[in-house]
Amino acid sequence: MMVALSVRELTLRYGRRLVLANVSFDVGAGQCLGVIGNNGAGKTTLLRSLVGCLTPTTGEVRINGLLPRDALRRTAVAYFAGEATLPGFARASRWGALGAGDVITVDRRPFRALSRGTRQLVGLRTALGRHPLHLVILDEPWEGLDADASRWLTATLEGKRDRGAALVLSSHRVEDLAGLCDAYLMLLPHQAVLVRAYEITSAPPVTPAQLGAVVERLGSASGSRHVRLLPTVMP
Amino acid sequence: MRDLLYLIRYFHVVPPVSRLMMISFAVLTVTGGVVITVADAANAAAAMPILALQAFAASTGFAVLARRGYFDLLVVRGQPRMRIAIVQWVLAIFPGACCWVVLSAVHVAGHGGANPFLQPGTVVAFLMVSTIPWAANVALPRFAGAIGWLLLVCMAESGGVIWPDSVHEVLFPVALLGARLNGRLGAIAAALGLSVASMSLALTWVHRADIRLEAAQ
Repeated sequence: MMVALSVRELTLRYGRRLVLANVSFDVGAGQCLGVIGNNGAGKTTLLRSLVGCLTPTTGEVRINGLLPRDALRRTAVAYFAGEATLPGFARASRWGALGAGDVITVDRRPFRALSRGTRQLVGLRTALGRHPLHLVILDEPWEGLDADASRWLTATLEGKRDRGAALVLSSHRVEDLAGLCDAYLMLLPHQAVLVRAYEITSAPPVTPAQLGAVVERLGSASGSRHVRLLPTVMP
Repeated sequence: MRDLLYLIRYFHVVPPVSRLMMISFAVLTVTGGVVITVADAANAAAAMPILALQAFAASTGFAVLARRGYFDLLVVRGQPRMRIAIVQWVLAIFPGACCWVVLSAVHVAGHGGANPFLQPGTVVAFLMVSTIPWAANVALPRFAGAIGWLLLVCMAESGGVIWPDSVHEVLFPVALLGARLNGRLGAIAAALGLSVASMSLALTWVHRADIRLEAAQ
């Protein structure tokens, strides 16, 4: 299986504050990784370092075997960090056309005049508008969406994954990720734990605390405090 | 080339200069044109308001916009941050440059002869207000660079109490309007050097700095 995204021993500091420590994982084409963690755990920081917006202090990120700055010129990558990253004065219809050039919305109002959910939806549709996408990285994509939009997003992501795109999604709501992800990366203080979905034999965990309990259980079973299933391609 | 066109398309959607500022430039250009034509102005004084407005137009606050994630769409298409910054700067100073060209053309049409808008001192003054505020403002909120510079200019107008006159000439671009090379070479060279140095420092910072998302700090 082709590895679409490879992260090795990624450590990132903001000044003296350690945000991510030795994070390693691979995501293959057609696979989905869910990133979960408490507020301030470093989810956004990790996702931004994947697309080259932040430079790791140590370690490396490879997209299709290339460094992000080289890969992004050759590989179609979708990244969206939430509606707060949309310029409030830009008109939604014009912004939507920046995706694949298609009409995403006919709403000519500026973003600041739209509801949070509408802004989120326009941002997602713009980011996901390019075809074909090799890598999709979305930061809390279900935030602010209503039920219909959430279903659309889940179906769209399943479609992208089935067509061979690698997905990396973060969410506070683990129920959004359940069923979509092949594995979860749980960001704990100074540690990242990768849990494969098939190793969770009971009902899928729906909160970070429940996933933490699963991690704890797996850790006890293997005789170590935390399971580290890191340098492997997900099945 | 395709990347550059996409950048320009992006900044058409997210313009670095607001519509209100564009209207202000248009009004000042018309006013300046009338002053040049009617008042038979032989110097570039009619462009002084445009100099001030250009300083504000150039104070884009690049890193603040980047911190908000406004350029994410460009970054994931492989656009280097340096290129984004340069294109943003060029497009931010473009309306002011157009006004400058129009006033220069009005002067040529109305008076002919030596054009004060094309004298080295005038060009360097325009370059100063187009570069230093952008560079000083690169990591600060919008307009902070221009406001800070206006404070310096007010201090420069202290009649030599705070600044010596030689510093006044370099800090206060209006003092360079219409200046020829002979006799003012030092001041013009210093102003030019200041412009180039400030842009070099700012672009180096843009290239090297890790700009974090506001929400992720």
